[in-house]
Amino acid sequence: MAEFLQQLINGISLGSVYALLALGVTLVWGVLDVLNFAHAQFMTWGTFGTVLFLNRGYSVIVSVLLGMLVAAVLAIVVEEAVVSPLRRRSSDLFAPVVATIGVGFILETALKMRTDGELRPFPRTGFPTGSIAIGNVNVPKLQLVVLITTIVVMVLLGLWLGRTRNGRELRAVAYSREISELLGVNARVSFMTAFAVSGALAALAGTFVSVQTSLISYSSGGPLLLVIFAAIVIGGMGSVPGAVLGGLVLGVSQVMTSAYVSSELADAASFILMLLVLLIRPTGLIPQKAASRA
Amino acid sequence: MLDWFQLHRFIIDTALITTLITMSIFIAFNAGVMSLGSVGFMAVGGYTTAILTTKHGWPVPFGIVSGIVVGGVLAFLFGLAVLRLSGIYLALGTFALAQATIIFIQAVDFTNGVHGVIRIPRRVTTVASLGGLLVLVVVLQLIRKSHYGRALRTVRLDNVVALGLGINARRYQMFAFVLSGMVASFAGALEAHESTVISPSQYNFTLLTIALTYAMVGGVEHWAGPLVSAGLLITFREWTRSSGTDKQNLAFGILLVVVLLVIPGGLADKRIKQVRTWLWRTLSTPFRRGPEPHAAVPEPDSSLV
Repeated sequence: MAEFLQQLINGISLGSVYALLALGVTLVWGVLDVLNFAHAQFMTWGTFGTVLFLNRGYSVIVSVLLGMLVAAVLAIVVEEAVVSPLRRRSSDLFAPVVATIGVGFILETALKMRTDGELRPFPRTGFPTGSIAIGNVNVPKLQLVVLITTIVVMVLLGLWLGRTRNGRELRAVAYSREISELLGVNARVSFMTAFAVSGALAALAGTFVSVQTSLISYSSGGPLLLVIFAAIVIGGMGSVPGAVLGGLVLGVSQVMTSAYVSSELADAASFILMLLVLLIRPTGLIPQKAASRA
Repeated sequence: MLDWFQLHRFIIDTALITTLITMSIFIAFNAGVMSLGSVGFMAVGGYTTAILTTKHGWPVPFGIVSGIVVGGVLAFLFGLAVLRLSGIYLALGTFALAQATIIFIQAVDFTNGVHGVIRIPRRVTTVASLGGLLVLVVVLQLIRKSHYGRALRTVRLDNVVALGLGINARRYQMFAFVLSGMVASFAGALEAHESTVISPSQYNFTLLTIALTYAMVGGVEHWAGPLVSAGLLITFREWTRSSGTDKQNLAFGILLVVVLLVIPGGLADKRIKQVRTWLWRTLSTPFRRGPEPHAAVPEPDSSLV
C-alpha cells in the first residue's frame, strides 16, 4: 500500500508537469485553432534561459522567472512573425500547423548549434533537497515544491481567465474571434497573451523536468510533445480544466504502467489512452468545442 | 554520366524512397485525410520484408510484396477505427496508432526489439524504386482523370457537399488511406533493402517532419506537386550538405517557413496559379495573331499542369 501511495505521488507529480505543458498548448489551440508543434522548443529555450541566469549567480526564483520571460518573448516573436501572418493569408488549417513544425525545427537546430549538441548538467544548488515523511511515505521536498508551485500557478491561471478583463477577453476570442472583435476586443492582444503565457508555462515545466533529471539538452523537449498532445486530446482540446485532468491522468497512468507492467510500455499507455478517448469520446473528458466527427 | 550515377547512387535511391513517403502523405491528403501515420506504415513494411527475408529465407521481391500487403491490411484496420474522425482529430488518431505500432515493434521479441534487424539482403536497384514511383504516378493520373478522382477531390473540398451528392465519403477516404499505407510500406520495404539495417528508432519524428514538409510544399491539388517539391527540396538539401547537418537543417527549416508564409497552399497555391497565368499570357502575346480576343484568356485550370 505504501508503495502504491508512493507511486501515486510520483504520478501526480509527473502529471502536474504534463499539465503545465498541456495548458500552454490548449490555450493556443483554443484561441488560434493552431496545434503548436514548437511548444517543446519554447520549453527547452526557456529552460536554457533559466540555466544561463543560474550560472550567472542569480537566485533560483529570479532565474526561473527570467527563464519564463525568455520563453514568453520567444513565443510572442513566433506568433507575430509566423503564426498570425499565416492565419491572415490562408484559410487552410494545416498550413500554420506545418509552419510551427518548421519553427520548432529551426529553434531546435539553433539551440543544438549553440550547445554543440551536448547534454549539459542542470545546476541544482539552491533547489530544495531531502525528503519529508508523511505517514509511511517519503516525499522528496523537490517534488512537493513542484506540486505546490503547479497548484498555485493553476489557481492563478483560473483566476486570470475567469475574473480579469484580459482573461475574459481571451476566452471570448476563443469562442468566436469575429463576435468578440465586434464587441471591441483586441484579438491581436489576446493572441499575443495566449502565446506569452503558453511560453512562460512551458519554461516553468521545463525547469521542473530538468531539475529532477539534473540534465538538459537541446532535444529534451521532443519526446514530451507527443505526451502533451495525448494529454490535451484526453482532456478535451481547448479546455483548460481538461488539460490539467489529461496531464494528471497521463502522469499517473505512465508511472503506474512502468511500476506494475513494464517500463517500455509507459509511452504506449498514453497513446492507447488517447486513441480510446478519440474513438469513444472525441470531445475529450471535459469538452470545450464540438469535435469535428463527421 | 555512369560515373556520376555510381557516385550518387545512394543519394538518388534515398531521394526516391523519400519521394515515395511524400506521395503516401499526399494520397491521404488528397482525400482530406491528414495522415501522420505514414512513418508507422513505413516501419511495418520494412520490418515485414526484413523478417521474412532474413529469418525465413524468402526471396526479396516476395518480401517487398508481403510488406505492401501487410501495410495495406493494417491501414484498413486502422482506417476502420480512425476514419470516423476528421480534421486535426483524425491527424492525431493516425499519429497515435503509428506511434503505438512503433512502440509495439520495439517491445516484442520477434522483431529483435530495440536492436533492430541486421544483414538484410541488399538487392534493390534504382530501377526498381524508379519503376515503383512511375507505376504509382500512372495509377494516380488514371485515378485523377476518373470519376474516382473527382469524388476524392469533392470529399476533400467539402465533406457535406460530397455526402449530399451521394458520394460515400468514408469509403473514398478509406480507399485513399489504404493506398497511402501501401505506398508507405513499399517505401519502408525498399528502405530496408537499401540500408540493410533497420531499427525502431529510425522511424522517428524527424523523418515525419521532413516528409510532411515536402508534401505541404507540394500542395494537395495534383500528384506532380509533391513530386516537384520533393525533387527541389532534396536537391537543396544535398546542395547544402557540405555545410554540415546543423546548418543544413537550419536552412531547411527557414526555407519551409518562408515558403509557407509566401504561398501557404504550397505549389498548388492560387498565387502560383496567378503568376503562371500571367507568365503564359505575357510570353505568348508576341506569337498571337490578330487583335487580342477578350474572352480568350481561359480561367486557370484547377490542375497544376
